[in-house]
Amino acid sequence: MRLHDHPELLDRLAASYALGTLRGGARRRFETLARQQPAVLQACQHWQGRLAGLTELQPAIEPPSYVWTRIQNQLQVRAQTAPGTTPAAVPGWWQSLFVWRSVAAAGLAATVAAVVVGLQVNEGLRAQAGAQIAELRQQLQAAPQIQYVAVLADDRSSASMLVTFDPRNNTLVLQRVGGFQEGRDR
Amino acid sequence: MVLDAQDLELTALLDQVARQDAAALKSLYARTSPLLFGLAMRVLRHKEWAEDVVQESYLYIWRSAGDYRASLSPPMAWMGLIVRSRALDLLRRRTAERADSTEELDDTLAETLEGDAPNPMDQVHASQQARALHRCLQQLENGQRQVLSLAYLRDLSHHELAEQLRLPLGTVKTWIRRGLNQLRGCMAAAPTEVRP
Repeated sequence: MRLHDHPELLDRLAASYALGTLRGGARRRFETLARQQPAVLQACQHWQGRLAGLTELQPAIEPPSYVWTRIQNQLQVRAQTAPGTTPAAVPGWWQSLFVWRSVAAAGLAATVAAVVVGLQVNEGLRAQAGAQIAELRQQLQAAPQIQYVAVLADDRSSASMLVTFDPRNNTLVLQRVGGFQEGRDR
Repeated sequence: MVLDAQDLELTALLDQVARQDAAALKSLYARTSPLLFGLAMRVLRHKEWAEDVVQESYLYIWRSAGDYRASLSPPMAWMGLIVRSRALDLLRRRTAERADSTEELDDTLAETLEGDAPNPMDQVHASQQARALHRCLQQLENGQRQVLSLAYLRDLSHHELAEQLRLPLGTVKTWIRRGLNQLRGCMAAAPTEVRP
């Protein structure tokens, strides 16, 4: 349908479209026509412009003063964080690419040296490590294997003695906790 | 589009804002924030939401004032559309979040009665284009003017209008149809209008 042959209908549809009360399938069909026929698009935009005046005609209400304060704060935050808005500072020596490349190169050299030295030392260390492991095993065997723990409380319900049992050595160990002092007769 | 002296002043301020002139934004805010806050309140009926929308809108204006001239609309209408679209976005989000809208309906009842006052619209700061619309809206019955304004400002369907204003659906449809017909007749005859 060539809507511009029906100016009255076109004007009515365009006004309803801009107002927002043209809905559903009718709205979609009208949008399709607006894409195909420039006169329809023009009528739409014309009514959208006219009705936009409604936004200017509402009763004015003074906003609270903190609204402007918030806007100002936001602008300051943006000015500080936005790139390009602050003048570019002269870069310090630590920002120089050459310095960082040199540091990186030195680091790499040190790593290589450490690896080489490490490989040479490795052989000597291996024999030493074997002896150490045997020694550690012995210590582990000798170390008490604590299986049972009890805490004895004094008459004020605060911890006074720690009781541990080592089945490997068949020993019960009592340790004082905190400032506990047993009575003289015991 | 016809711009009067006031529109030209606001356009000049927007140009300065586009060059990131903070003092110009302050002047623009001083001159336009009561209207835009009033608009946000009309759409949202909720003070904190309206404050948030106004704040966001001016930050958007700060970033986008450079685009204003391409819009070919009066400056107040351009800013009004920014506030309306942000307010509608917020309204849709809140409506989706809250199924329970009893509180809003109570607000609406009070507002409807208040809206029956003969001249609820403020046109002191309006653009010439908006004043032409205002003259035509004044010729409508109060009910017709109300449903047309709310349909547009809150993007409401016939059904939603009937629900919010507690009117029969048939009444809403009739008011919209008659109101829009009369408005079309009046706007076509408006002497100040320049057709694109």
